[in-house]
Amino acid sequence: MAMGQSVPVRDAEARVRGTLPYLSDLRLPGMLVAKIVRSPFPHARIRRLDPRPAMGIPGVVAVLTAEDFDRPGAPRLVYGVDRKDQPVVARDRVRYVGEPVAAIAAETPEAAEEAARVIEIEYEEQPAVFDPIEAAQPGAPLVHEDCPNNIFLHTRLRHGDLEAEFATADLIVEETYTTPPASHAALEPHGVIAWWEDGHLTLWSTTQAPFVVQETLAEIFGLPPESVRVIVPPLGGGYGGKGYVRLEPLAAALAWKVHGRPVRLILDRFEEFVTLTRHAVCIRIRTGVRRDGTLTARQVEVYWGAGAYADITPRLLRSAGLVRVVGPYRIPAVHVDAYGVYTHLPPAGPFRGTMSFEGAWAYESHMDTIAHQLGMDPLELRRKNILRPGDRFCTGEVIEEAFFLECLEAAARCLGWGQPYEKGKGILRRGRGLAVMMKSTLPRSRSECRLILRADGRLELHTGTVEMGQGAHTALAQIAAAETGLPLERIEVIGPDTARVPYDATTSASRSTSMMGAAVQKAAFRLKEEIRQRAAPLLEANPDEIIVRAGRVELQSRPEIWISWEEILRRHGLETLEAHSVFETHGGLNPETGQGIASPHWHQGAGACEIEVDIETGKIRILHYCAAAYAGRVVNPALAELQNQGNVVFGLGQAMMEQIVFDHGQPTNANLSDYPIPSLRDLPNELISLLLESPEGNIHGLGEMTLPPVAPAIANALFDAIGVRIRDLPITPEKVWRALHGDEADIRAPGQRPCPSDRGCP
Amino acid sequence: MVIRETFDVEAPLEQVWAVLQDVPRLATCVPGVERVEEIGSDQYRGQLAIRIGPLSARFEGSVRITRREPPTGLEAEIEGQDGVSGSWVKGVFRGSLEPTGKGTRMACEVNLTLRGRLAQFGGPVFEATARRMIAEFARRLQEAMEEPS
Repeated sequence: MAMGQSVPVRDAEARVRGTLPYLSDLRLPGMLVAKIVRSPFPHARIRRLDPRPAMGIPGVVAVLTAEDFDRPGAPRLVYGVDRKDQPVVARDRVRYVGEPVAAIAAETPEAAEEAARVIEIEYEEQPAVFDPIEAAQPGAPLVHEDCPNNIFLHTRLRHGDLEAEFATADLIVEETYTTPPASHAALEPHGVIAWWEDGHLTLWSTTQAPFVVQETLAEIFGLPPESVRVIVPPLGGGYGGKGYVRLEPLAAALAWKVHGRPVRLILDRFEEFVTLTRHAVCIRIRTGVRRDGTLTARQVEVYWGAGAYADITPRLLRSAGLVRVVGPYRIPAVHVDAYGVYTHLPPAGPFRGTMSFEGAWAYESHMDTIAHQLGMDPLELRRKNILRPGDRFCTGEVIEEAFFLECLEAAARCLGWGQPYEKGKGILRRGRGLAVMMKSTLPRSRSECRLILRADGRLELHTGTVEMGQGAHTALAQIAAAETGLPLERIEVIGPDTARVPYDATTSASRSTSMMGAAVQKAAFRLKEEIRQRAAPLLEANPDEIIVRAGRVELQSRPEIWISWEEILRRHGLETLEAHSVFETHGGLNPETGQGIASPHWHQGAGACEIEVDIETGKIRILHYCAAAYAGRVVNPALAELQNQGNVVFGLGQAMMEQIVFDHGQPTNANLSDYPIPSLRDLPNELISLLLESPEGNIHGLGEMTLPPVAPAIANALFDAIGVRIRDLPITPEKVWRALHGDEADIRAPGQRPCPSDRGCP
Repeated sequence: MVIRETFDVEAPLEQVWAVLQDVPRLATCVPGVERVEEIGSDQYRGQLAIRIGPLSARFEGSVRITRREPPTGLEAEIEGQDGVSGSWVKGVFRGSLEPTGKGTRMACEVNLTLRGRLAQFGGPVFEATARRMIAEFARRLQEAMEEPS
C-alpha cells in the first residue's frame, strides 16, 4: 500500500542537487530575451511615449506598446479574470510603481537592457493614494475613473439580528487590526517563454493555473482555446503569487509581435515585488459577549487594499473575504462588510493562507482581548464558543466535520497549557498564547484526471496539478498506486500541459491532494471497470464474476485462472486503456447576504506557543511552538508533517518580519537583503507538528492550515508576557519596544482605534 | 524617506549662514556636484554624479530656495532626473543653524522620494549613501570656512 507511507518526494533529489530543469533552464532555438520597461511613478499620465530610439539598438527585434493592441488581428489590451481593468501594457496612464509601459524582445539581454533605457517616455505625475481606508474616502484620487471611491466591490454577510444580539451582551469589544502588503518571495521568480506561430500560441510558464492562463489568452487573442498551449515545468515555489494570470499576456503579446521566434521573460527580484503582493488590509472587529463568555454578536468591516488592478480579488471577496474573517465560533448574529479597494500600489492577490491569515490575525487577537477583559482563560473562552459538529455557521451551513476544538486542545496540551511555567525575570520575560482558525476551500471548482494504462504495464497519470515543491505529484502518484494496486515506480505523472492533460481549475487553496486526489480515485475506479469489461470475454466470464486485483484480473470462483493487465491489452490489440474522471465541488454564497455553501469542507488548524521577549530590545524568541491541523486521511505522513512545519516557518515571517515598505508608492525594500524572510536562526527552539488523522475520513489539503494561527498566537503570547497588544503586523522588535516605552500609547489600550490611515498605508 | 543628520562646524553662525547663501560656493562642498548655474532668482540648475551600490548615475536637476529665515533657517526644493539609470529624485531640504560654544551646529533634514532603477536598491542602501555624502559635505564646509572668501 502506497497510501499512508512516507515515500520521498519524486523530484526531491534533483531539486536539491540542482539538476531539475526549471523554466529558466529551458533553451529553445532562436530564443529571444524580453525586458519590461516599467513605470517609476505610482500615478501619472503618459504624455509621450516614443519607442523608436529602442528600435535603433542593434539586436532589438520588437518593441511592444499599447499602440499595438485593439486593431484588426491584434490582441486586446485590457484583460482581467474577473473585472476587465488591467492593460497588458499601460496606455495613457500608469497606476503603480513598476507597471509595465513597454516591452522589448532582443537577441541579447544587453541589447534589451539598452533599448529599455533609450525609450523616451514623458510622465506627468498625478496625485496618488496608497492606504485602502483613505482611498475609500470621498475626494480621494481615483485609480480608475469609472470607479467612485475606489471601491470596486462591496460584499455582505448577514446572519441573525445584530442589534438585538448586541443588546443582550454584557460587554462589547471593538478593535482594529491591520496587515501590510508582503511579497510571496518564492525563490524561483516568475518566468514565461512564449512562442507565436501561424495563429498558435505555445507558452511555458511558471503558473499555478495553466487552464486559466489558456482561457485568458484565448480571449485576449480571439483564438479557440485549443490554439493556446500552456506547459508548466516544475516550479520553485508559488504561494499564490503564480496563481491566475501574471506575465503571460505580456509575454504572449511580445511573441505575437515578434512572430516565429520564442521569447523568454524572467523577472528579477525587484520585479517580483511589484508583480503581486499580499493585500493591504484593515479589519475593524466588534464583538458582544456575556459575562459568562458566551458570544452574542460580531460585526466585521474589512477593507481589502487590492492595489491598482482588481485581479482575482472580486472572486475572493464573494466568499473567502467574508467567511474567513469571522472565526470558527457559534455566534447568534454576524454581519460582515467586505470592501475591495483600489490604491496606487502593485496588484494584490492570493497569498498562502489568503484572507484567513488576515482574518485570524484580527479575530484571534480579538478573542484574547475579550478573554482578558472578562478575566477568563483564553482557551476556556474559545472552548465555550467553538463550532462543534452539527453547529450552523453564519453562512447557514451546518458544519459536519468539525475538529476545531480537537486541534486547539491538541496544541494547548502539547504546550502544557494551564500548567505552571517559568515566567522569566530581568529583561527576559516569557508568555504563552494560542489561536485557532477556520478556512474555506474553493466552493465551485473542477479537477479532471486521466489515467492511461500502457501495454508495457506503466500507468500514466495525466493531471493539471502543478508541482511546485510541495510534493503534489508524489501524493497523487501514491493515491493512484493505492487505488490500482500498482507499484509506485510504474506510475508516471504527466503534466501540466493543456494540450495533453484534462482540465484543472488551479493548484491553490490547498485543494490539489483533496480534489485532484478524488479525481484520481474516481479515474482509477473507472479504469478498473474498463479492465473488468475487457477481461470478461478473455476469461469467458461475466464481468461481475471477475475480481480486478493489482495488475491482474482473476475469476472470483477460481482465482488460479487469471490474466495480467498487460495481457488484456495485448490480446485486444490495444496500445493503451484510458479512464477519465471529473471531480467537482458546488456551492457559493449570495454576495448580498453571505448565505449559501462557502466550502465543500473546512480547513482547520491551531497553534500554541511559548515565547521569550527581551524587554530591552523588543526581540522575540519562540521557545516552543505546537502546530495542530485536522488532516483527515493522510497520504504521506512525512510530507504532511513538512507542510505543517513549513506553514509555521512561513507564518513566522509573516508574523514578525515581512512587510513591503512603500514610500509614496515606491517600494524601498524590494530585495532580499532589506526584506527579511525567516532563516534557520529564526525558527522556534522546538517546533512540534500535530496531525489529527481520521483514517476513515476524506483526504484533506494541508498546505495552509497551521499558518494563520501563527501571528495571533505569538501576539497573544506577547500580551501574556508583557501586557503589550500589537494590532499592526509585523510584530517587529521596534514595534514591541515602542509599545513598551509608550511611544504609541494607544497600542496598549484594548478597544477602539481608527484604522491607521494617518500613518500611511497599513 | 527622511534623512536627518546633525554636524558641527567650527565657525561662527553668521559665517556659516553666509556660505549657505552663496550657492556656487556651497555647491563645491556637495560631493559629486559637477556643474551649477543660476537660472533665476533663487533657482539653480546643475549636475550631480552619484554612486549607489553597483550603479552610478548623473542627475540633471534643479534647486529652488523656497524659504529663508536669516540667519538660522533655509528650505529648498530639489528635483532631478538621470536618463542613464532611469531614475528620478524629488525632495525638500531643510537646514537649520544654532550656535554652540565652539561654533555652529547644523541640522539637515532631507525628505526624498527616489524613483526608478536606483530606488530598487532600497531605502537602507540609499540612506547610507546620503549619510556619507552629508559627512563629506560637513568636512568640505569646514574647509570652506577656513579659506578666505
